[in-house]
Amino acid sequence: MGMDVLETELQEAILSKLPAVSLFRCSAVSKIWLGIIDDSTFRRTYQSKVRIFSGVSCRENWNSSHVFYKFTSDRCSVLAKEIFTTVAEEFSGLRVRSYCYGLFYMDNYEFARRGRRGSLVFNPFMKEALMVSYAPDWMPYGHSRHVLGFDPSTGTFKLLDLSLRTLIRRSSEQPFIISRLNARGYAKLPDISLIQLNPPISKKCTPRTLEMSTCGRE
Amino acid sequence: MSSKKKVITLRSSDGEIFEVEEAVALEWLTIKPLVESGCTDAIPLPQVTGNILAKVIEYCKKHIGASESEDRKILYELESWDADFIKVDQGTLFDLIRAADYLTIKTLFEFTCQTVADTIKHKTIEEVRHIFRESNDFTPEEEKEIRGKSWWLQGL
Repeated sequence: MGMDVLETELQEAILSKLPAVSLFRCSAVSKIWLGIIDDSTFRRTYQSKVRIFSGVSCRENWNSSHVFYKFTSDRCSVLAKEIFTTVAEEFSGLRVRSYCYGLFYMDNYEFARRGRRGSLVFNPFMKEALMVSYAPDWMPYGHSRHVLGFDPSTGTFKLLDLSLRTLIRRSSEQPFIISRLNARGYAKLPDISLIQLNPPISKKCTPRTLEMSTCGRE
Repeated sequence: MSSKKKVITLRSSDGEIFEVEEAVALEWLTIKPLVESGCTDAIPLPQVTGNILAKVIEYCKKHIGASESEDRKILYELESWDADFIKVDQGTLFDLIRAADYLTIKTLFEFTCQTVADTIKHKTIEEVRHIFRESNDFTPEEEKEIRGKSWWLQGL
């Protein structure tokens, strides 16, 4: 017995309870589901139900220190001000490059250019920073644009390398290098709708090295 | 109204007779007008079988009054009771959804739909197909196209 024993309206009711990522994935399950999810009326009611109610944001100060904010639809509070108490000096000049599900990917262009480890992923909730090491063919060179993303199919964070150099070098089949971030505490995150904004836990930052592997060779 | 413990009689599709308190029946929007009009005959529910109706009544009896409670302990107990209640096979779960929709019991409908959604949530496409025994009616080309719509889907 499958879901098709239920009337379409009931299937719609069930699917509308899914978080956006799962819903999108489910459109590839069967033609019936694709029909339901692709329907514009369904999309509209779904979007009106799922509202962005909270998030985190970052502001860079003139002395390149960062202030992380937590905001909800009605208020805003500071999450973390001093990030890297232990490694602050070495990591001065960090820029926030991208942001995904509460994690910030930051790097120091000068360091990366000299082939040194200069990027890290920062979790303002836990006040934890994880250093990112480069994969062998990871070229932190030129106008590199690294984007942090979350892969819900494997439950891991991945880094997308959008630098011009890799775009030219790669074939059209795999235009980006996608690296996976493996580290305890960052490997799995629930779907968007489930992320809880807990009060920050006062904990000294613990930089750890990330294992990285490129996706194409798995 | 004098009827604090007035009892409503319901008849399921297979002819079973159930008696519920009026307060419970008033939560069911489909039969609410009938109850309010003071109907004393057994209300026929041709779309709900006896065993499903028994479960629905069980749920509503437990939840009446308790859902609005502020007491954390009561809410916690209710939550674990719900978790036990919903440990049923897929067919029963779908029957419950249909019954809740037919009788317009909002709490039960939301709860059962959420339960099904939760089983889908973290699954891959193949797992979802397996659970719901949905057959893959896409051609390989069509499937490739749909999966190719988003970069993160390609990793599946």
